Amino acid sequence: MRYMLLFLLIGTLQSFAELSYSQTTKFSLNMENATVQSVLSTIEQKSDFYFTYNVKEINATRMVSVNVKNKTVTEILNSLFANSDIHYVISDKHIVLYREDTKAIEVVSALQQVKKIVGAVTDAQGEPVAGVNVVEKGTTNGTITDAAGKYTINVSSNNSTLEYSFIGLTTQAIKVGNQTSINVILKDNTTALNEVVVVAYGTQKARSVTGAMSKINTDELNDMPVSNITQKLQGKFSGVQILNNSGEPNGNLSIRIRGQASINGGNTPLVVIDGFPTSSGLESLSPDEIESISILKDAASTTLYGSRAANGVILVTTKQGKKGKTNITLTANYGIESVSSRGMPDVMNAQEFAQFKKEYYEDAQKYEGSKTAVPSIYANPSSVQEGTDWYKVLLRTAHSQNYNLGLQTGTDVVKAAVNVNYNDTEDTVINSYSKRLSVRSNNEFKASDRITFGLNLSGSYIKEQVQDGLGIDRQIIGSAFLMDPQLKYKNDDGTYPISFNQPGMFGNPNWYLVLRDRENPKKRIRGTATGYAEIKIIDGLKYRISGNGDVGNVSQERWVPSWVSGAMFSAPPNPAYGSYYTYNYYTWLVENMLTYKKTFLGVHDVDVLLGYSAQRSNDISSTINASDYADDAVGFFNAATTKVGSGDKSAWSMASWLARLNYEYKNKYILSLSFRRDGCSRFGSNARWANFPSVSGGWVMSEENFMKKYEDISFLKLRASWGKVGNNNIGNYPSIASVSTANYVNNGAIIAGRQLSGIGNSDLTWETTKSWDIGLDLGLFNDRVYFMYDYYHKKTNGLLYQIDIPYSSGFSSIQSNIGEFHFWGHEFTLQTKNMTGKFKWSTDFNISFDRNKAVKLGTNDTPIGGYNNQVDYNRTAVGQPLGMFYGYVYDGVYMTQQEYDSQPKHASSTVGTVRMKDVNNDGVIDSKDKTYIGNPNPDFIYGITNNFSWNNFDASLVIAGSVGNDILDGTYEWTENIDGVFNVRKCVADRWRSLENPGKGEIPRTMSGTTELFRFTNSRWVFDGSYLMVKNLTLGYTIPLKHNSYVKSIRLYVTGQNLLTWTKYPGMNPEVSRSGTSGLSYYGVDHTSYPVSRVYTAGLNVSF
Amino acid sequence: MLGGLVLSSCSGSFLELYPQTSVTSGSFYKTADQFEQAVNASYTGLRSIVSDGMFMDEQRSDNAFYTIYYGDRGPYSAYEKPALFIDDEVSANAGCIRDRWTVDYSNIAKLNTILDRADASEMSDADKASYKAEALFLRAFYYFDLVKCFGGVPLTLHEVTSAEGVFLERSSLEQCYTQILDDVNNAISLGLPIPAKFPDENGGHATMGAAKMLRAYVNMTKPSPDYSTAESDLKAITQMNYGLLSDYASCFDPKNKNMKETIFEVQYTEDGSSNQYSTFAWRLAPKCSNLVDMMGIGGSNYASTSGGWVVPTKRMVDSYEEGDLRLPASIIVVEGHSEGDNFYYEKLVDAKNYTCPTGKDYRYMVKKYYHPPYTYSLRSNENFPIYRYAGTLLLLSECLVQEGKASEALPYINQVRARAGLKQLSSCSLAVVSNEMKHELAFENQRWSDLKRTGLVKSVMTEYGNYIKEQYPWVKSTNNDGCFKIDDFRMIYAIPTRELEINNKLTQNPGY
Repeated sequence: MRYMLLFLLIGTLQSFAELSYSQTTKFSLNMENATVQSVLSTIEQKSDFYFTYNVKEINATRMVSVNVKNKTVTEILNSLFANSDIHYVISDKHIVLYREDTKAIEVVSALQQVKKIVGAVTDAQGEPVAGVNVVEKGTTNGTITDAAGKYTINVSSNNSTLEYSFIGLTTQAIKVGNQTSINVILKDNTTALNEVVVVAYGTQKARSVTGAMSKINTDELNDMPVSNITQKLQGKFSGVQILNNSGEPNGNLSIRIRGQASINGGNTPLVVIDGFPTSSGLESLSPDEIESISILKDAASTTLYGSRAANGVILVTTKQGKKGKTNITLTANYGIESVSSRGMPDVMNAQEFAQFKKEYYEDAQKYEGSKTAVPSIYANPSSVQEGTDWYKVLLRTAHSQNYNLGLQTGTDVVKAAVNVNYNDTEDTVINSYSKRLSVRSNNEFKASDRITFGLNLSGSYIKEQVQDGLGIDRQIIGSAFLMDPQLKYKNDDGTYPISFNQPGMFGNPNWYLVLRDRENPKKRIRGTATGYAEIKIIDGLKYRISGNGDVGNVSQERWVPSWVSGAMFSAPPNPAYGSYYTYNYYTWLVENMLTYKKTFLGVHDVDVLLGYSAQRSNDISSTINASDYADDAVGFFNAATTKVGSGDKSAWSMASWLARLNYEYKNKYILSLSFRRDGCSRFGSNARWANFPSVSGGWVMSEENFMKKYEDISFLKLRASWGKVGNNNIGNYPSIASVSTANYVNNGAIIAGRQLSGIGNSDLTWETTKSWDIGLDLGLFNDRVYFMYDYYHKKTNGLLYQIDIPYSSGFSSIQSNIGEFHFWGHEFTLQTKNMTGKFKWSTDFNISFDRNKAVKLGTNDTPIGGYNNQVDYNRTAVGQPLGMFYGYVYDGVYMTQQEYDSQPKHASSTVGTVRMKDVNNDGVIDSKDKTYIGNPNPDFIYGITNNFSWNNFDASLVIAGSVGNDILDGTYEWTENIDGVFNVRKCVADRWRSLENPGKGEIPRTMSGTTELFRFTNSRWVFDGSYLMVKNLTLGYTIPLKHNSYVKSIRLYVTGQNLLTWTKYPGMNPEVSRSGTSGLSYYGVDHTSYPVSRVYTAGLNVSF
Repeated sequence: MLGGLVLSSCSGSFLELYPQTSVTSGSFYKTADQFEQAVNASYTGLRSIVSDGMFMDEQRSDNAFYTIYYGDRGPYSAYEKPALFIDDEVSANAGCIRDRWTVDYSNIAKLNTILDRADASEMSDADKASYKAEALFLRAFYYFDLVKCFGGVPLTLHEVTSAEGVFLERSSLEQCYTQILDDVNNAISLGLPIPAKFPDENGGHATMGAAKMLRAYVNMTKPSPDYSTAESDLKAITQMNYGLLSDYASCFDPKNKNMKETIFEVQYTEDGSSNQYSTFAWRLAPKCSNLVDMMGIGGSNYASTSGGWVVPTKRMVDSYEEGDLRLPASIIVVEGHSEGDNFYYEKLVDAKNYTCPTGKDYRYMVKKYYHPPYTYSLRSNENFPIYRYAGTLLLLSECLVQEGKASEALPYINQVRARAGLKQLSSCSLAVVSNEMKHELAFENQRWSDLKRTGLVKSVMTEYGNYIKEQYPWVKSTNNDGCFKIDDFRMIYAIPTRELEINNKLTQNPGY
């Protein structure tokens, strides 16, 4: 019916038209290889004809050749659109082009256009934008802007609305009204797809990305008042596990991308700050100076970083100046931190402990013939008070503050951004803090149309104090709660005892004083500078040279006065000691890049990069250890009688070639090839150079005509990639066996001795990871719902690590390249705009399922780790996931004589002692019964971010978690040590004491010689480590201000960091891991770290 | 253009970087000076053998036990179990037993490198011979140490440069002894110095006397002993410049290092910063809460192996003959009082016929290595004897008795007795020589090997075990009365289980 009408209408109109101008006007044209658009323009120029058409439907950039003499416009159009589905109607001087399937009503309305509008389109920086679609809304009438951004269009009436659209810019609609000239400024479009993202050595439109990457702009993270940017990233990316395992103030969190693991080479991703690969972490940067962060996950995205890319790459971009109005922001916040009581060690109070000690001595007398009497302080437990909670003694409520001033400005010639930040974070453990001042200035000068110079400078100064043995190990916190709770850290007269020697326990310092009085401040100064010049040689061809420098100095003064000199087992006073440590480094990097970017024939987008890079890093360190102080008055090392110095110096260098080709056809088919060749001084002379290639492709299916009918699908892209990357994190001289000092004595005089300190291996080469990835990006309902999926598979081969070899060789290990791990997994991201009205609500959700397996380990497939009964918890063996917990299987206690007589036993067993499982069923319990008792690798990790806004209020909620991983709580080895040397868990009260009093069957008897087995790594210490943590909740309010010349906006907010934790794990922190995520030993092991604190902050952002 | 500049500067040596602060294997092992340093480093393993031997060779014997400290039930069981004869694969994979295996082999590796590389070096032939002789002696010494502890072991005889070939099977006991004798024979034929002046200015280094002493021990210990070679070696030593010092106690005084009685001695010094100190004076002292009063400087020796070990038993004290001057020189009583498990020093008292006053407590202590006051906590200056001339005389006596020439032994054994202030013997047997050795070489890490070599080990240790169980009731309850079962398999220790797990060609010693 509809089509009928169309034909009728068009037929009528054509009959009118044929009578007039079109029949009489003749043209002569000779145009070779011109676009359709230019042919039509020429006709317009040579006549009074004007065309209207929808550029989206009529391919105006198609190349044609026209050579005619004295032809009518219909003849020309017929030949121009022969064999296509383009039709036209002529109404007097107005010609409408349309596609066959266009609705008749649209064609009719197009014919009614009468008014001519001219104008220009520019972007926010004032640059003209060519190729903008200008369409009269509701019609097929439209045009595109020329190279100068100019356009001309005829519209039907003053009521028409013009719509301007361009990829990467926000579409704008303007009502024509009385105007005949309309100039438009199109703003950047920040929807994920059109965004330009930072990739290795350049930028790319997000819709064209074919590798696996995630990115975040820090303005999405603005209000989280943390001192280290990594804390803001938790829960934000699929496939990225970020653990706050140390909790140190301004400590670096451990980041692991796609479960990557090396053994010796480390698992830390490469951090690249404004194009400069850096060895130091992110802690010297203030979160406020960062513009965006990209995380590159698959080999195709990272291969341009070649030998350093195996663990993934984090690209950090700092804030740059922008052309336009000057923008000044001031941020201030203040926070209060405390440690939640969840997960505090469940140890006995003084009375309970006295009771336990009393029974311990009584049982020794009764069953072992001990003649030691119950010490008097334990003889009457009922008279003992609750005592000291040693854990709480070391903690405090801490305060933190952060101030930031940012300035961005720019003109045609100069663009600049300046950021000044001061952060002062105290920690909840007494006398621990980190203070940081960081400044940055990024500047760009446009010397001419062709030449641009840039200079970026940054500096930071950090002063921090964290006592040794606090970060990730158990020396101080873990030792403190093992103290007899009857002890007081402070005497009633206000003085402090310096040491404790309780009966049957080890000597200990007063841990409160240890924390308070040891001095250990570390100062770090760092400066970086990047200078570059960019020369536009011809259109699209650019040469860029950049020089980067990074210098830093670390110094640490240590002073341990005699009254706090000591450790567990060694009570003060001990000789005082001090030290002075300095470390200097400098790194330079020079890069030469040639890029060529051009669109051919309107449909072939080509982007080529060629580069050469050279980097060198040098460091030097020295330590002066001081001892034999005359007194405790002066701590500086110079005051000591004995001073022993030592030092070290090392360097590495790398030279690289790199190349990339990106090709895109019609925005539909995308191909990317990358290649890097690295040479590095770290490797044996036989294997110094290596090549790292990658290939990836994408198909934007939603651009295909057959997809147009699925209107709900706004974007659909399929991606696939393959690539090879490497790992060179093995220290500077691993291929060379060095000779170390081993002096001896000859009749009282010291004589020099030297020995080989390892076995060299000149064939040592790169650890390589080959990986492939397939992915899908899907946007629904105008991208209101956006979904991403990736499957990856990685093979890490030629692992660089120390293979355990028999001691009978004289060495415990040899550095080798023999080893293979596999990693694979699924990653999902779902971003939805749930509500878009006055009340806005959006959700980002990601979930990742990462798996891994060891495939080859050394020549003999020797497992790594798990050989010792204590403090050797993880074993990585062929066919198993990495870092599995390895030990005995706990099976309760031999409760009765009958149980003891009839069941398999350990050599030390007796009735009432611990029973481990006879795993191999040989009737005896021994080391052959050790087995895999837990898996620290999670089944999946996830993160959810919700953002809300309503009027001037906004809120955000960040949740992150992990499911299915086990945690081994290493504190049990001490808190369930039932030899009476440490305070113990409350459950020890219900241990087996005799056949009449057998307890609850969990804890064995205290008889000497039988208790050690209970302290061997066993399944009792392994817990489900799944958790869900509310990382951040922010509530904000923007004060509505009347327009004034001083303040643009003021925003107030309150946030809570690490607010809530849901987990079955009974320990302090479910994100704990002694080694973080690097390395395989201690993976998933809790050794009592710095507690992670809950932080409440109030803050203010002011823009001028 | 700029790019070109950078490119040219990056060619050639840009990627050739070597350690700037340490010598590498490629540049070392060239000159005589470097070989001297390499040999010096190969002696450092002796120090570990001294400390491990205290637990494995002395405390396992009938000379000494340890003071149980109830706070110390942790990993230190690896040091206690050998004394109770309940050491197993767990204790063999920790502490002294594992350390001994490791240290012997790591020093053998140093010597293998020296022996493999000496011939191709720049040294003169004389230097080559001299350093090879020293290295061969030490390799024989370390392998003998391994064989005494573990039986037949893998023989690694060349520098290891790759993972290929490090997974070795055990060689038989006979093969090991053949290798040890080859090495020591070669060392002797290459030539070693005979010190002429004392204190020996090269004290601590291998000498002809030490090599002959080692060869004598090896020949008398191997499965088919060769007493005649041992006899001639030992007699040769008596023809060197050695002799007994007049005072037994002065042999161990740090003022008398490397005197004429010293044949081979592990060297230490204490100057505050060089970390060449010994620790045994502190290890042998009782765990004590007021060490400063006893040692001259404070510190805590409660934890770990830092105090309360190799404690002489009353039975040991009582076993000295009346008037034996070696008793007051070797053992003393530390008298004090106890609060719970903690002990407080008050004074030192003679061990002879000691009875403890009521309200007081006491510990026997080895006195040989106690020379206070000390300057540094947990450090001492004393050397430790390996071969003493008195030991040569007694080993020669034993050798002659074994050869059925007991009467020829009398002049040698009587020299030793005379110095101890004891009457001369007119007859001599294996048991008599052994008893003399027990007291002369007490607390010098010889007793366990001596008992095994003379075949007296089972009877002596069974009897001693019964005494200990009676003396310390807690021993009886430990391990369900499994202590002090002196089975044949316990003559050697278990191989550390790490080795077995990593090298599946190895087999565990039977019984463990």
